[in-house]
Amino acid sequence: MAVESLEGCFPGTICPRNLGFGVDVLGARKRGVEYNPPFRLHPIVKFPSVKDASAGVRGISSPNFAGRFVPIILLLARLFDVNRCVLITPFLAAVLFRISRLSWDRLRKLVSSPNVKKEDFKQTLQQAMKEKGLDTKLRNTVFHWVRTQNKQNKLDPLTSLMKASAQWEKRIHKSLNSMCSDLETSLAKIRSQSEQEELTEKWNELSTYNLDLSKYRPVYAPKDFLEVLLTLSGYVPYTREFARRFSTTIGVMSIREIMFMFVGSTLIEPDESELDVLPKALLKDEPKWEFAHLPLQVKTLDQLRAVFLEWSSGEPLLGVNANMPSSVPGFTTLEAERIGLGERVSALGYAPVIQEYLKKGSPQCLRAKLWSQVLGADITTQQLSYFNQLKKSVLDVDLMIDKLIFKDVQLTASNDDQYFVFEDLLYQVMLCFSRDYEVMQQLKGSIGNPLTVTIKGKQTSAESVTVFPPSGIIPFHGFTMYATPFCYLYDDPAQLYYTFRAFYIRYWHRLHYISTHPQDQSSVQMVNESIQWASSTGSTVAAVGRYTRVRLPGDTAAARSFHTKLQEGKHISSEHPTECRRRLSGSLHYISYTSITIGFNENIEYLAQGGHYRLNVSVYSI
Amino acid sequence: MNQDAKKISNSIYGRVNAPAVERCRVNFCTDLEKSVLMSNFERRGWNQVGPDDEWNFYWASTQTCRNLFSVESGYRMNDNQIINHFPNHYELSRKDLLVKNIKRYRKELEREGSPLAEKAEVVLHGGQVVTRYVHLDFVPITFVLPADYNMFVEEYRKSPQSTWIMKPCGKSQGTGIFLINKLSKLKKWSREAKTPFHPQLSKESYVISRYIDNPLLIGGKKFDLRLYVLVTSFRPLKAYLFQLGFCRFCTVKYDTSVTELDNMYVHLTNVSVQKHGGDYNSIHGGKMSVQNLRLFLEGSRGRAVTEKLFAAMQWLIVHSLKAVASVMANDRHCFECYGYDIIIDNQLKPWLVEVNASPSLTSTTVNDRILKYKLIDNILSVVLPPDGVPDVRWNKLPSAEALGNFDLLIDEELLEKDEPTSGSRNSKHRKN
Repeated sequence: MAVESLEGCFPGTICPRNLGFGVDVLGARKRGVEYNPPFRLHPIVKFPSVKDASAGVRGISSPNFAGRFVPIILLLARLFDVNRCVLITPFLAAVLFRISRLSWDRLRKLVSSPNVKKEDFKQTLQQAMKEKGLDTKLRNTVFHWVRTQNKQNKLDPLTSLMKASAQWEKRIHKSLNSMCSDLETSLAKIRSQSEQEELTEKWNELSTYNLDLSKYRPVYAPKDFLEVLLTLSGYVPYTREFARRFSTTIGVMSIREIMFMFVGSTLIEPDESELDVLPKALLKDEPKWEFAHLPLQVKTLDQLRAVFLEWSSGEPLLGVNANMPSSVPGFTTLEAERIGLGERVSALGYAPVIQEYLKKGSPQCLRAKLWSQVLGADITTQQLSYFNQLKKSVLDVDLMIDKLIFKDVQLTASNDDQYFVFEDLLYQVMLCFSRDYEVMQQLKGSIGNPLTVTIKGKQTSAESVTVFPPSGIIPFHGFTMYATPFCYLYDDPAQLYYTFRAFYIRYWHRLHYISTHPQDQSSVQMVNESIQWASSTGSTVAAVGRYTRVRLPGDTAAARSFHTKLQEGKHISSEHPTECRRRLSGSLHYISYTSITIGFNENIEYLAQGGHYRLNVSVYSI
Repeated sequence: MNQDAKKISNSIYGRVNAPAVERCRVNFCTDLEKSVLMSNFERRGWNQVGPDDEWNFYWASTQTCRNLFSVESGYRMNDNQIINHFPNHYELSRKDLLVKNIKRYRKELEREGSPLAEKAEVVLHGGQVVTRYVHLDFVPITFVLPADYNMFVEEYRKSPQSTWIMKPCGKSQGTGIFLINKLSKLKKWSREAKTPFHPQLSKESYVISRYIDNPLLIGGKKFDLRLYVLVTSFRPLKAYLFQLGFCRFCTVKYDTSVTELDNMYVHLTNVSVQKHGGDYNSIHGGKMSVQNLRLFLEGSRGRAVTEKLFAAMQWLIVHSLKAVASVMANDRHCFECYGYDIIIDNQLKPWLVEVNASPSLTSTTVNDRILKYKLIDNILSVVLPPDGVPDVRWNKLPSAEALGNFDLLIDEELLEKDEPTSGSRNSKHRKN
């Protein structure tokens, strides 16, 4: 199918959102409806012919790419009704990049199959793609790509925060370096042959890999980061503009109150001795919670109700009471109903539909599948081989971080009665994560500037220099806890890895970097992050996670009261903190178990559905 | 539980209400001064007395219980006395007798033509076709040695590649257990056992069971389940399953190779064995809760298979109890809490390994302590009538609240009652 010459271009016609969701873009355009793409499209490149198309593609990416993909670009262009021109947008390029070789081959075969007719190209191809399941794949690809684009990838505009964040980073790097010189080791070096062999042999039971870690200390603990956050208050310029955007409007919950709630929530059952670690520490430091004078706005209850529509309108959510009777005929319990629907949603496989489904909670038995589907973390052969590549780079190069990872797994998972079983799995996942340069690529701009170091023992060349660590993420005490909940979903290390990574890239990196992330609505990110962080990183994760997961099945009263609160629209903050704490203590069980790090709660599914919801949820992720 | 505690403290410092006075009248006696027991008795305001005094509640060792019930002792219990064992608990807890009883139970059902005793041919993973009970195949094939030696050899010859596990009938906690994969090894053992150097071995009988060599592994490690089952009566059978069981993990990765056959850290999950391994962790003690096992299986394997597994475990427990119900001395003064050891294979089929009549009340970890404290508390509230004073005339129908973390497994009395009235009460009862 030769492509006819170009007659013009249609700026804004390829709107990923619409494409992804199957809206008839062209039809709408004909009707004169203006489409506003959710992100800025790059200037559209136009190509009069196949030859020019390949030249143009070459312009935006590697030659290999062009050679392989030009025909499919043309094909897609046709499919998307741009049959009179070829639009090479970053969007299309991204889609193509993500379509694996395999499905590309399948697509090509499909086009040449007798089912696809030249006269009615679009309809027949779409039909054929649907039949082969390629349709879903393409749509999901678009969906996942749009989600990555929507993310705020810029560092904070508040220079003061930027400074703080840079200082913090510097401190971490400094402490890494000094630890290295203290221990007379180097940040990166080639592993010796014998070491490589031993590591390879023990890869599946790294708990038996003997390392002397007595001198290694975690680079920082959540507490250190909290201190930094607390000192931040001084940095915030209190201008009128700033005040307008951030300051207290009606019904702002101050951090102090929130922290009170938090403290309250964890103190309810003192006989749960495992909780000891956290609340006491917080209580002791209670007067230090001077965060409140940082006038950042937190969503009001009304706003929250608008956001959590399903919650505030009283729709039944799974996780509140799985055994409540279902309103749908044919199902006895809510859980059965959700499972029934979930199975269908999962079989359909459209990420946006799954996202919608997850808002109301997923049953445990479908999480593994749904989460990886909604995050685009399904395993392909490509990903498997990439995972093996990561493994290989762990085996090849000894990074100082590895010891810290070992130490962290030992300090957290190995001694935890919920996670000790998965110790060996976690070593693999965390080590591979540190080598994953894709993480850094995807988080570029939001995680600062990692170190660059020379690998000792390698000949001097371009390859002997590495970003340290390749993922750009320096683990802190408790970092492993981000990955632990997934052990209850995936047996296979690769699958576990990709879902964990997707979660990290989407949400968790925010928990330990300083930023405000101003988005269209006034930003509450920093507050949220600090709270999220306070509740969810490090040892707290362990405490909250452990605590709440055990309680998950039975904790209905608390959840219900939180629920009612949202429905009634009562004001939480108008009360005295102590009173507030007392009254809310019940509901905070629920809130604490909706903390995003727990991984088994329902709220994370709210999180998983992305966009600005994340911000709001975090207020409650205490 | 907390409320109870409050009530008591209230009654101490405030108005003394009537039930508390009655509670104080309970005299208990115990052979075992474990803290989980003592703190429970104390919390209820009970008064400790010696075995020769007027006790109402005796937490006895199995030996004491047998002695009390023996003809020689001549002890006669009154209506306000209860004790925590059945006199012939060994019908269930001795490995050889358990197997014998189950075999008999199956035969009886078969004779009656019960559908439960249905048999079918199954293909083992070695490719061998054997006839098995469809519903009652929940103990690995077991023989008593030396008595059944010839039968064992016959079975062994059918699949010479198989591994077998030898356990002394009367011992517990993994002592004297070893694995065998060659007949010659067994012969060698029996020769040695007969020599005068090992007189203690020759007296003892052993059971030899087909080893479950395809256990379900989590994180590459083998585990078994410890579930607690409370029986308050055998005829009619009344049994309750404690929700808070746990998995006991081996510290070392599972490995079926012959070289590891003698490594008990690979094969035996008993805490008493694992404790001595270098990798034993005293914080979690290699124990994971059954709820977490369920969470893991549901998450990684799906709901249907998980439900099936847990239903199969309940089935197994009920039928093992039914198998001994006819031979148990069903004394109304007795109740008993059994520790069920179950292994799950990689096809998610549960296998009953053994039943313990005196499950350990030693707490190895903090969680362990919480669990065992709750266990004792719940046992007490199930076996005691609502007024808290032991009374054998009570109908033994605890309220839903009294069950605590226990789920009703079976109550034949309720079943019978319900038969004409379509089981509404039973289902209500079961709900909690």
